[in-house]
Amino acid sequence: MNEIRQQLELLNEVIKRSLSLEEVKTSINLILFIRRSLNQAGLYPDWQESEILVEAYLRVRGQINAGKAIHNLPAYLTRTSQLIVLEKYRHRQRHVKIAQKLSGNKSDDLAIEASYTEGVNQTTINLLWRSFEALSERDQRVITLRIVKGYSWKEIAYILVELGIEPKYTPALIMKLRKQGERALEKLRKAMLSVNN
Amino acid sequence: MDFKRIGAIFMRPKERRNFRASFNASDTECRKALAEYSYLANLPQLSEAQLVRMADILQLAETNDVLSCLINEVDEMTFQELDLYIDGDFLTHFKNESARVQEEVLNGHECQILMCFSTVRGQETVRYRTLNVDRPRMEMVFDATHSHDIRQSLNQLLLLEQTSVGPVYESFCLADGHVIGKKSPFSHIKRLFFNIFVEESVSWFTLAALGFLIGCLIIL
Repeated sequence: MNEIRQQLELLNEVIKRSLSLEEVKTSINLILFIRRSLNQAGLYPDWQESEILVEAYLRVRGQINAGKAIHNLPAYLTRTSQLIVLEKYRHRQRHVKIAQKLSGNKSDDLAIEASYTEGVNQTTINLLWRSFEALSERDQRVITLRIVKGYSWKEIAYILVELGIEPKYTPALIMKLRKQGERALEKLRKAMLSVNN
Repeated sequence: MDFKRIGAIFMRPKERRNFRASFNASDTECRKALAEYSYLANLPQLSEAQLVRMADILQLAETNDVLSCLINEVDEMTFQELDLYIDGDFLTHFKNESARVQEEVLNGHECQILMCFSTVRGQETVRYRTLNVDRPRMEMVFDATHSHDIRQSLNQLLLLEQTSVGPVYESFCLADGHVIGKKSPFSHIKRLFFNIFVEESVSWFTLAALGFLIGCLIIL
């Protein structure tokens, strides 16, 4: 029961953080992710970001209540949102096909199965990978705890103290970690932008 | 289950050990997946197969911290390319959408309800250990404007913890009127006296004066 409560709290934290413009730069951005997915699936503006996000939230919460242990909550929430978009897309496609059958028109659906790696700038991926590896272990840990695990800066401070990386917990440590995390993310993003430009 | 408290969160010792190991994933597989994801994320339109593939990569990222982190960076890059962070219209839209989501997501009060039993347990422990401490008082206000589904699932969650209602509390009333906890035969009388003397702050002097007046009226 304790675990369920903690996961629900974390879920709320992740959602709240993704809704705040101040916090969103250093955490997963669900609204923008859903907006992009809706655009790519051709579902925008028939479906809004909030509708998908609320549905994803309710589903994940239901699964937590059912006792499912989720290790990377932000990633799980992102995938759930993507699956909901996929469901809506399939639903729409069914309607389109029925409409085509009724009208007697043939489908123009050309399923082009192109190679996924075709056209990908491999240099960008390699550089991104190297940039991440070039970060210190501490920076990697801070970024991972923040973005992947979805913890708050305060929780990260406690974890680092517990792991013996920081000697003791102080309020100044939270500010220090926040700055450190932001700088590490800046480093990663600068490297990627330099290649793109 | 053996939990260890670290600040505001709980982690199992096993999880903490695995955390270091999660950095050592297969590089080749992850790079390939990241390249695929980057390609798909930059396409203006996706087919069903491509949407499924994207979901598969996201599933892979759930078990790989590095991939998950770098996927987030690829996403950030595409958001910046789409100028979503500087588009004034989109920022207004973002705020509106955020407000809509906040209406549906559990608020602070509801989170408190989820936390109430653990709080009660903690307060009881303190009470038993230190004498002359007043009985903890627990008050919860539930926002009835929220959807019925949320309220129902919250109530179900609370019902699962029926046995954890502390002995100092006679009962626990849920938002839909359902009462949790056993009541003793004298609980109503005790509750009446409690309401008169503590909740309503009626003093013994007032009661005596009232009794005297009634007595005088009867005699006359």
